[in-house]
Amino acid sequence: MKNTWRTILSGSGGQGMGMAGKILAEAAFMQGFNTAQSQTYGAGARGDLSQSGIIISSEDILFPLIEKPDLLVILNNKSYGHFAPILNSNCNGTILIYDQDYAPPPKGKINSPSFGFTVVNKAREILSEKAACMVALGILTRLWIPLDKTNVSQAIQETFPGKTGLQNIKCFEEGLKLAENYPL
Amino acid sequence: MTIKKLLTGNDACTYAAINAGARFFAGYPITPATEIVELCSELMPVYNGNFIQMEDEIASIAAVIGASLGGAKAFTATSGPGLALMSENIGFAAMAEVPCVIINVQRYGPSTGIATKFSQSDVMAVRWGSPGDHSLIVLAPSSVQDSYDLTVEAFNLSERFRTPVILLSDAALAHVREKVEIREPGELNLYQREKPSGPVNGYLPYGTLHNNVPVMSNFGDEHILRVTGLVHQESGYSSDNSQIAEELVQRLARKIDNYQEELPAPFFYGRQAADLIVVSFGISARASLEAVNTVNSEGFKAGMLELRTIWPFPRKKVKELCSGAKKILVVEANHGQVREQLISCGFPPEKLRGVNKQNAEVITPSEVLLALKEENS
Amino acid sequence: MPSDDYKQYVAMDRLPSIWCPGCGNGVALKALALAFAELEMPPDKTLLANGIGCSGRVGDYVRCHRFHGTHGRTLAFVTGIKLVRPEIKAVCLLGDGDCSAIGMSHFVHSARRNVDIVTIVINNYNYGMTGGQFSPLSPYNVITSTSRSGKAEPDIDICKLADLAGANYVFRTTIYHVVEMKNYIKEALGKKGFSLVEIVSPCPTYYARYNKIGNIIKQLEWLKDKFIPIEEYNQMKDAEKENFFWRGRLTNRDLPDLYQHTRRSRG
Ligand SMILES: Cc1ncc(C[n+]2csc(CCOP(=O)(O)OP(=O)(O)O)c2C)c(N)n1
Ligand code: SF4
Repeated sequence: MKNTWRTILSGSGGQGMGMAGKILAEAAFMQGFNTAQSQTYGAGARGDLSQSGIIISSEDILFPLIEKPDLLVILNNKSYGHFAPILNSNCNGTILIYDQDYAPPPKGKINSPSFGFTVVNKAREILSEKAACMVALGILTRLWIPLDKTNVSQAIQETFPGKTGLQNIKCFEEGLKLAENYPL
Repeated sequence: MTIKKLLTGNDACTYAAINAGARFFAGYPITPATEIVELCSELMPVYNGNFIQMEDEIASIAAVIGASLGGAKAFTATSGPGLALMSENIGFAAMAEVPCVIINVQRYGPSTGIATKFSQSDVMAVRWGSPGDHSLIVLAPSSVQDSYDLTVEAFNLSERFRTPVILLSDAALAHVREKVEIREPGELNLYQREKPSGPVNGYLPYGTLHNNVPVMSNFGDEHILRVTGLVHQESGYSSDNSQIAEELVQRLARKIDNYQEELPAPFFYGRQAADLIVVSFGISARASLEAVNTVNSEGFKAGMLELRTIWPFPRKKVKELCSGAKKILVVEANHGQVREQLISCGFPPEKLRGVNKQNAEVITPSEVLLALKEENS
Repeated sequence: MPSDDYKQYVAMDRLPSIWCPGCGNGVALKALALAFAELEMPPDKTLLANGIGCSGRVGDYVRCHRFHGTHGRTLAFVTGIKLVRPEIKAVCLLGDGDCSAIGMSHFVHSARRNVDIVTIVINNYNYGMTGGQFSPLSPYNVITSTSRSGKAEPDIDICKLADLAGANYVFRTTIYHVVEMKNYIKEALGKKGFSLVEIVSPCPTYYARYNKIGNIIKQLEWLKDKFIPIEEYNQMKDAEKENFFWRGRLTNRDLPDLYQHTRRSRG
């Protein structure tokens, strides 16, 4: 039985990678999982390649950073260069989740099972690109990570107080919906 | 009360300092320690303490030492370039016997290096950054929980030994978020600085020793305090007498080196009487442990020693725990600074394999795993 | 005739001092002790902190709390002390080199923060302790052991600098003007915030010798003649000013000090 989920969110600075990672970790923590969350730091986090890694596990987490993700969410093209070694290899078991409008996988180079969604545009519809990761969290929660959606909503609400919180939750819920109708 | 929270390493250090009773912080922003400076600016006023952003790191550690001499538990946080600037005053604190805590969040160096990136290359700098024979205490956490626990311990040890204590964190640990059990002040064993009780007249600040540590007053107390970085007599007045100098400098070393059993002991994991032993510290110890667990599940006889006190180097314990090993792997993200210590413990260099990394990235479990497998074949 | 009360602040048993005959440091020490005595300052609430240098040894001869840190950094150390022990009256006695070269940034920032410290700078126009090299305060063109043919760099007026930086009180005097010196140290001790008392002082061993000022009597006469009251100085024509220095009170105001600022921000 699977008991550890290693997720990396990768995109650009303004897409809320760090925040989303923190929210996922908080939700996992509420649910009694062990968790470790990291993120790119400094100039990179403001620029065009920003990442957050979240380990969620029912066991002790020995090494808190991610060497190889189980779930890799990619929201911009630039990320492919960074993760090429992982995505190109045949036997790593990484699942790729990508933004179908802004980060279509480069042809013929990806060996991982991959799933495309309208992440960024959905977030723009509701709030702004900043909430792209909230949509991604909805997709992850619905399809892959065993988190209770109320815990994720609560973690979002605690991170963004007031109206912004509600809008971010809306993005998250849209993510859940996208996943619900997805032909896996 | 014990609270469980998700915190970064930097935040854990800051809360630990507050809960250990620190009420003074002086610092200068530097990546990757900045969050400690920022959080202190918010928390210190709430706890009726003092936060001051000084003009540089020299001034920051100076203000910390001043505050400590006024009776406050005081600390600062910095990284390589700032540590270098603090060196002279860290030596002063060792010489004048002023308790203080310095959180050094290692980043990639030398010089400005890569400000945001990781390294473990300050092992020697924290020990010998300041000139002259002296001893001090350096602790290295390997998790966010450890960052909390060892920061509390750092304050206790600095008060107990009246010496600077450096917490050797790093850029990876500083920003990773993990679960921490925050034991609040009521749950913590906190060491309170011993104060003089005898007559005020004729009080000698360096005259009464308990376990080789002077019982000193604070500035503003009725027992008059005299402090200098010059060689000094028991009175605290300066002296250039060679006998006084020798006795003082030897006592400064002895007061710590002879009481090492009071310092955090290394952790040993894995198989006892192992053929292969990994020695590591900080976040590299986490990668090492994962690798050791993996090979042991495949039938290896491997052990893992995590150093928690780096200085004074726990020679006795390391010799005790590692002497049976056929091969010792020293895992550290530097050129081999801890490995040198094992050589000076008497381990033959050919028995030691350095697993080193100098590319500003953390050492991963699979890298340690690879080295272990190579050694076993 | 001053009473002997000042002796309770002086570690008489440690005298004679290490200073050369004719050195101004002893005179400044006595003026400071007299000021302490006249204000009846409790030794356990009085701190003398020194820089590193000949003048830095003043603390070896006092009976109040004494701090002696690292070269140039005294004001930064004492900023920490004052934040946690605001009730202490702190005097930082620094050499001109200590204060204006290696310690310049702490000096400016302490004045800017208006830390409640009386800073006394013994300006002997050179680094006495290390053998008479020039300091930033040594006047232009003077001879020192690192400016044998005359100091090539301009000097700086630290009184004006302290005023500009935000000090509450600034006074300049000389070792010759003993009573004035004591009185204005006293006035500074009565102030809150950052005070500077600059005392121009003879260093017979190096500065006076290199610059052929003559014996100690001549050096004191030089101080007496060259340093004229600020009011008089201000009346002079520019050309005339070049031959003189001013002494007296440049600044006297009551801006909030660092401690008040930090408490206010606490609300
Ligand atoms: C970091 C450092 N650099 C240099 C010295 C050497 N040093 C000792 S005293 C001194 C100059 C002192 O001059 P000043 O402050 O004018 O005091 P004076 O001796 O004239 O009273 C120097 C450069 C030192 N102690 N520390
Ligand atoms: S060298 Fe100059 S300043 Fe130093 S003690 Fe002698 S006279 Fe005084």
